[in-house]
Formats: sequence, C-alpha cells, structure tokens
Amino acid sequence: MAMWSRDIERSLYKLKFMKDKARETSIKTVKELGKPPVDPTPRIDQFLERFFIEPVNMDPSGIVWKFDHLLDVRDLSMKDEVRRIAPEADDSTLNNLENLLEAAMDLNLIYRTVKHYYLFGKRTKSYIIIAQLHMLLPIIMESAAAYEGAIQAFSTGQPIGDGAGPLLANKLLRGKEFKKIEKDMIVGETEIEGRKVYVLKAEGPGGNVGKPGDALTILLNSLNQRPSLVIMVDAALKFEGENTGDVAEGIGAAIGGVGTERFKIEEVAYKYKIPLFAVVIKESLKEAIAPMKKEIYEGVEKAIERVKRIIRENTKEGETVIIAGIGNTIGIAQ
Amino acid sequence: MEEKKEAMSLMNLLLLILLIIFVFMLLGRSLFSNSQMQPENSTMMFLGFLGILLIVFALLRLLTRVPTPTQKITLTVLQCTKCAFKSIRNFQVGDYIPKIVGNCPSCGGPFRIEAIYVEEKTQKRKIPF
Repeated sequence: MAMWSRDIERSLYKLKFMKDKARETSIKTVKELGKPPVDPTPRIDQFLERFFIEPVNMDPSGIVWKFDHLLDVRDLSMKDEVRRIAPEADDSTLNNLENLLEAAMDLNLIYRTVKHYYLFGKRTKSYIIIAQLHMLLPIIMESAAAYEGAIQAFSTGQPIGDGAGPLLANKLLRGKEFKKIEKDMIVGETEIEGRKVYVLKAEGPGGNVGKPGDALTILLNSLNQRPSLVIMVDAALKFEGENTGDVAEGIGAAIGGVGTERFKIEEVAYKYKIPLFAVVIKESLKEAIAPMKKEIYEGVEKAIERVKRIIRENTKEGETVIIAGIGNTIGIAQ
Repeated sequence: MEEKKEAMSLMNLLLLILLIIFVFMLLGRSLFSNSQMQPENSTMMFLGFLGILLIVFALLRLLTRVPTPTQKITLTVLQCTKCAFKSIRNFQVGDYIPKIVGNCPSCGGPFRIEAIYVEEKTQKRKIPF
C-alpha cells in the first residue's frame, strides 16, 4: 500500500503541475487576446470550478431533449462568461478561449477527483480504494496528458487531431459557395463524379463542434430531392498498436459526445430511410485533442479517396449525397 | 527540462558503474580471500550476488526504456492556388486553413495555407506482432 500511495502522490504532483500550468496559460491568453479592463484571475478561477448536472435518467423517455437543452444552456452561459472575461475578443477567438478554459477546467477536475479519492482512501485506511485508484492511474494520466496537449493547441489556435472531419469538408468545399445553416454550422454545395454533394461542417476557424444533428435535420427537411446517401467523416479512437491516420469505413453515425447529436442524426436518417455510412480516421485520445499530426493530415487525404469510392459504388450519376465532416474545427475555416 | 533529464540519466549511469565496481570488489574479496570459511566471506558473497541481480534488473530497465519524443515542430504548409508552388514554414499564431497569406513568389498568385501539422523527429518503435 505504501508503494501504491507513493505512486499516486507522484502522479498528484504531476497533475497539480499540469493544472497550474493550464490555469496560468489561460490567464495569460485571456489577458493577451481579450484585453480585459480588470484582472480576470478571480473570474477564471471561478470558471474552472464550474460543473454540469446531467438530467435524471430514472425515466429515460425524453432524456435526449432534456440533455440537449441543458447542453445548449451550458454552452451559451460559458460563451457569455468568456465574453465578459475577454470583452475585446472576436467570435473566433472567443470560441478558442472557451475551448482553452474548458480544457483547463477538465484538468482541474481530474486533479481534484484523484486528490479526493487518494485522501479519502488514506483517511479511511481503505487499501481497496487506494488499489483501485492506483490501477486507474495510467488511464487518468493519459487523459491528463491529452488535455495538456490541448491547452497548447487552443491557446494558439492550431488545428487539432479531432479536426480531421472538418478538414476533409474544407478540402471538398475549396472555392465553393457556402451558407450558415444552423448555430455554428455551415453547408456548401459541390459535385463529385456527377453527383450533387452537400457538405456540412462546423463554422471555423474558432474552436467549435457545432450541432451536426440539427444541421442535418434542417438540410434534409429543406431538400426537394431525397439524398441517396449520408457519409459522416470523423476522427475515431484507435486500438493500441494501430497506426495513426489509418482510415476505416463502416455503417452508422460517426459522431462522439454525449449522444444527443447521434440520436438526432439516426432519427432523421431513419425518417427519410437514408443509408448512413461512416468513414473514420484513426487516432488516440491524446492525438485527438493535441495539435494535428502529419499522419492525421495524410489520413484526411486517404479519407477523401475512400469517400469518393463509397459515392461511386453506392450512388448513380445525378443523385444527391450529404457529407458531414464531424469534429472540432479549430484552425480550419470554410 | 531536457538538460535536467540528461543530467539525471548521467547520474544513474554513474551510480550503476559504481555499483558494478563495488559488487566485483565484494565478490573478489569473498572468492580470493585466504581464510575460505570465514562467515564474513559468505555474507560478502551473498551481497555480491544480490548486487549482480540488481545490476541485471537496472540494465534490463535501461534497455527496455521507451524513447521519448525529442523534438516536435508545428509547420504551416503554403501552396499557390495557381501554380501549386509549395513552401513550408514554422506555424505562426493567426494561421488557419485555408487563409490567404500574400502572393506566390513564383507566379504571384494567391498563396494559401494548405495544411498545419506537427512533425515529430523521433523514430517510432516497431511492434513485432
């Protein structure tokens, strides 16, 4: 137990260092980009302690919409708070600052949780709690390292690994017209081998994931012709030992998060009986929120070819296809 | 940080060499001593063998250590939209894909940010299975 405790203590020192560094970077970036008239430190400290209460799931019917509503409120209140902390920041910078503060908040939560269970285990002399915490440490430290990488990306506005989907959408929409379709979502029209293709992505270059479920619903409701195919492109977690940037395809809605957007996409695809295809670019959790690696960028090039092949094999000329580039669009505009 | 790590590994190596010398001195004294059956000789031999085990363990750990990424640089790839002339420079705050950053030095066309990515300079260990 002494050895486990020593390991946990060592990790706690590392976590404390990470969360303090994230806090300092957040304060420095807010001061630089937001030019607040007063010292933003106390407000940032309050922001880092924010929490989210999930809706009760005893009666699961209708929980998706409750979840969706609470997430909207959370997002809106966070944006308002960041706007108050950084009044001079433009919309794109505001999104980056929000993402940065969220990553700092997550690091703070990891530190507080590990510290809580460690001190609780020591106080109650429960070797079971200490042992469980020790067993989970590698996973916890991996997540913390991932958030540490995200701090760098969000403070400088670099594209992250999760931006693989929006990057693919951006490449397909180069030189084409696009318009805003939903809150933080845009849609553009292009043509691939004689097929009319609508491309969806979050509005960049600020850190933003948008609401692809709502955007797809609005788009499908507004189209006169029923699309033959919906292809979703996203970054997906790879297994240990697999290569970063490898591309795989499957069936279903390729989208992460709590599940509200996936629910909406599945609902609308079922309503119109449209086949849902998924193309994923493999990467680890750490790579997904750290600055984009060259292998992921090359994976996007491979994914474009895969998407074209799926369109060729599953649709005829003159038909309509929807491609949704899912992920955080930081550093990637339209 | 890198300098501190290097100093630490040098210190570890020095300690390992000192341990090897000490272990060989112990074993040598116990094996080549004149009074063969003295109890301190067997203690020295026991400690010597323990030392050998420790050295083997330390060497195995040194050999199996995973190499850490040494250098990471964020690059911005610029490409001309007309003649496809390519140029790579370090990432600057404010860069985003597909921002137009001036004119192409080759044909004068719009120079666009094509990619922003991190390149690592460490060789990855190959997994044999």
